[in-house]
Amino acid sequence: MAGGIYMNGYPYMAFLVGWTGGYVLVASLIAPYLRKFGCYTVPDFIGTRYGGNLARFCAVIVLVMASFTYVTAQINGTGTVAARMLDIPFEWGVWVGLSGILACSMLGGMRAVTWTQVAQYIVLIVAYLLPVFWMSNKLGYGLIPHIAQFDAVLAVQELEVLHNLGAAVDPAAQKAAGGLKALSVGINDASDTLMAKWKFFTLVLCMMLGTASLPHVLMRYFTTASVKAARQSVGWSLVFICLLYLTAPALATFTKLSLLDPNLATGIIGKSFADAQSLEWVQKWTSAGFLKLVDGNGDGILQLQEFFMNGQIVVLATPEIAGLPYVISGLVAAGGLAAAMSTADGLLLAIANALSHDLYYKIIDPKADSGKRLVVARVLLLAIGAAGAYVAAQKLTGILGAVAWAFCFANSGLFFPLVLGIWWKRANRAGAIAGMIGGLTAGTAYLYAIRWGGMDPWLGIDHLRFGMIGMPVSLILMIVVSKATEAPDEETMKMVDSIRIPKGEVVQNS
Amino acid sequence: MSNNATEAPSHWDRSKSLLYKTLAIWIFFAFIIHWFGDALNGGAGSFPGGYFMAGMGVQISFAILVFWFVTKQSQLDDEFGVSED
Repeated sequence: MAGGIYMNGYPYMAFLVGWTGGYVLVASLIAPYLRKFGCYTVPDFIGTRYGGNLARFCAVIVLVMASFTYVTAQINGTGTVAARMLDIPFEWGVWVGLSGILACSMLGGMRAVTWTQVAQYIVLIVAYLLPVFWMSNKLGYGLIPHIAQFDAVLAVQELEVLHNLGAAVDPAAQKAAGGLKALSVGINDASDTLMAKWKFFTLVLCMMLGTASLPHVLMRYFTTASVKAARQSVGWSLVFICLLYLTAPALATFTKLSLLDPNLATGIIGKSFADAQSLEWVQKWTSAGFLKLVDGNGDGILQLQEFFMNGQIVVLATPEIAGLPYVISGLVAAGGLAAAMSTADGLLLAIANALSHDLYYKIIDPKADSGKRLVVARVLLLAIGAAGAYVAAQKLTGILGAVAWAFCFANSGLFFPLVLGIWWKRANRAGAIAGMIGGLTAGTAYLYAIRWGGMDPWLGIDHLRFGMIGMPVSLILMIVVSKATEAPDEETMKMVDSIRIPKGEVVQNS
Repeated sequence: MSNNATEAPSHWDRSKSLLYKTLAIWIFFAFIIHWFGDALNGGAGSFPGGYFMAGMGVQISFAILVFWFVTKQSQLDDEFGVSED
């Protein structure tokens, strides 16, 4: 994440706004009602509220598409760490990473996931915060990086001018660097054009509504002690997430400062090309395929436009870039692994639950006993993991790209069926099915058209924001089709009434 | 509480109005404020306000907003006697 901000500056802070703001929607629109409903998976709610296996099946499809895309991003992350630490190609690294994730989720069930998540979270926080605090103090900006970063931002903005940020990159050098990118966007180029404002707005919207419809996020609140506890725990989740997210811009800022400031030993931009090339971290990351220095103009000096990298290594490479002790690098790698694993665990579990509970048990074989369902879940876990590693190795997009796709799949297919299922009694089965299929199909088709079909994006709606196409289609179809068909029966109306008040028994026990 | 039934707004009406308030505040911090990110940054050398809001300010506001909502909704549930136990 910090990598995205490092490479792309202010416009990518929309991710931070979106991922945190989404929790406001989770707390107010969705989580307490699903808790009262007492469902076991998200398709469970869709299947019971709207009735029928087709609705449930559609929800399973959306869930699997979104979560699977998200899993490939996490496997990509573990693969990056493995590739760097073990000095192996990225394509092998993803399989090593996957083995770690599967070992984690196979050894325990739901409870293990919850507890390992707590442990992983602590490792993650320490690993993530420590280098930032260290850099802030070492560079003399102040004790608390979150406060100190604002002076650093101003310093970086001056250095960006010094290093001619935004100057054209030599085409031959870019060709030699392949898909890696040189820095070209300023750290704080806030939206000053209508298009930039619109792009910020759409990314925030997609990420927020995606957060509110991702099953592995919602799943956490199904098992709270009460409806009130469900609401409160959304608040606490947000607080912990903030601890992490608030540090991301600071990390990006101090890393940039370390690289750009010519008065620092670590500031290699603008200095001898040969010296930079001989640094150990430069060599290691170059051999792993995530970094490339190309002396395009042959002047022996490393310019900003000659430093090509893949943004996703920023967090991992920061301790080395800033010249922190080696042990910190190890700690950060451990933190990165912990982060990717805890998310991947939750996701794989969400997928396996949906497939074994909703698809296998509820639709295919309702007589299956719990032992058999468990075996099915485990086998599915392996198969999905392997497929995820295979897709991650194809490098269709970066980590951040895959995460954005997952959010867009989720909001295109599930957001309106979930929210309207609670807040609009008139929503019925036909409407929900039309909303899910229509939204997902429209969003996916648009993604395909702009990414591989050679179509130009409309109004700046690029592949990170394809939910902007899927969501309106989903909403409109759902309302129109619901209105055109019969209202839901009396029983469904009563069910909706009962989930709207905390008191009383849960609607469904499964 | 809801004895004089028809006139007084129901639990669900009050819940809805709380939701609208929450969403209005949410819209402000989620979208409107970033529209003015450039202006908040000020000129060269001044405090980067737009950067501050996008990287820190709104996240903290969201956390406060969620807890405010939870407290209000719980009060509402208690008032109408529909909270759990």
